[in-house]
Amino acid sequence: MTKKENFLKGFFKENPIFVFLLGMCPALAVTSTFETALGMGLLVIFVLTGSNVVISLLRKYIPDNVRTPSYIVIIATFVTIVKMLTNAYAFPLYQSLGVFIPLIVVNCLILGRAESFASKNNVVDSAIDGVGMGLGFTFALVVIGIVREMLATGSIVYGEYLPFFVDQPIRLLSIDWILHIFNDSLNVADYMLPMFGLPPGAFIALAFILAIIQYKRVTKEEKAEAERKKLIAEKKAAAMAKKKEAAKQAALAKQKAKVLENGGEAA
Amino acid sequence: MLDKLKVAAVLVLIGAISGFLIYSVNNMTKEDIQKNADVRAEMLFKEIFDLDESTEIDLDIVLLDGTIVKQVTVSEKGGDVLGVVYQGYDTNNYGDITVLVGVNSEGIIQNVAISESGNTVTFVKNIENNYLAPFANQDLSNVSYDTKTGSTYTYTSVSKIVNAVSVLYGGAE
Repeated sequence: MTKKENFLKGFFKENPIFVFLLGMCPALAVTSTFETALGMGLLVIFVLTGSNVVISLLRKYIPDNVRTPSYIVIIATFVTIVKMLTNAYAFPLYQSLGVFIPLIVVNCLILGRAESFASKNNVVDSAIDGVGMGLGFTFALVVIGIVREMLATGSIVYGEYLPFFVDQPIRLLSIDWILHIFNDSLNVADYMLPMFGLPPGAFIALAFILAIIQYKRVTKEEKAEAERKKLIAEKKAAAMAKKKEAAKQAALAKQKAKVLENGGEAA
Repeated sequence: MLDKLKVAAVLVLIGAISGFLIYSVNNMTKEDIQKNADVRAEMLFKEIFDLDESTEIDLDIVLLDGTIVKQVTVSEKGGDVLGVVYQGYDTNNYGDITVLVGVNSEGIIQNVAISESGNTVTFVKNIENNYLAPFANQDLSNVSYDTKTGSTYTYTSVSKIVNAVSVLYGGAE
């Protein structure tokens, strides 16, 4: 596997949430808005990369029979660090994520990557795997967050919890303008589905997204299968035609030989 | 024997590195964390007494023992006393929770707020949005609690703290 493939595999081919269904707890719990989903994703990238690097560095020294508790101690260290940093420098995000920051320790994605990748590969590859998988995880959270916030409120807001780039919360996207075509006084929030901001909405939104991904995947597989069958049929037909042609040629040659033989006898 | 010692040494090393990292980050962030907590507490005190963000306040803090851990007398800078905020602390099955109960000079609850919580965020938000407001303007000597729709662990902890304030305030009288 090249470094580029290693980095990109987490986005689609081996996406932790959409393909492996790992880390479902934060995927359902903190994706009520785009911003909390992005915040959780950034924290997971930090923890995943840090723990992958340290586990890869220590992989030759950690005895096999105590590897899991050792990995958990390393992951818990990074989670504690990220919790303190968030509490100090991104306090609104710390408050909105609440108990889900310490719960990163039990995110199966992180222990899974430690066990299946970092403990068997060098530091650079493990770091690339950590960043790639973390970004893939963040991408999935953000997609769910955008769908839920859009369906619940009709707009995507940034700047409420994350302290980067803006001083005041701003609307990144809104479908207000569609309603304003009909009537300027209509408020988009009154016509949306607040349920998508609540836990049941998380399950429904995730189910829809997974269904779309599954549909795409199955359609692609069916198309590839149909193309493969078509190719086999074409090859079969070509082989049959070749066989027929050869049989025809053989019969013609036989006939020619017979004619020649008969001519010789007559002479 | 040597193998066991090796395992122990590796575990001690991992523990030591983890401890050192956590200690360093804690040293680096503790002032900011404390500052954030103070700012949030002050903001909540202002919210409890319906003050503008720009209003400056004086706080007189008394530490207590039991469910109510702190008694903060809030007054406008150089002005009258607005009331007392009691800070209560409880632990339920979902974690720790800290609640502020603001009481005015006549023993009427001004407002109740959750300042810190390890409980499930969605439930805490639900309690904050729907179940804290009914405490406002109730007499501390006769507080009514929502025992039907609000029966979550978070609300139970809030009720326990409000009740402890009621007992403490009654006792103080």
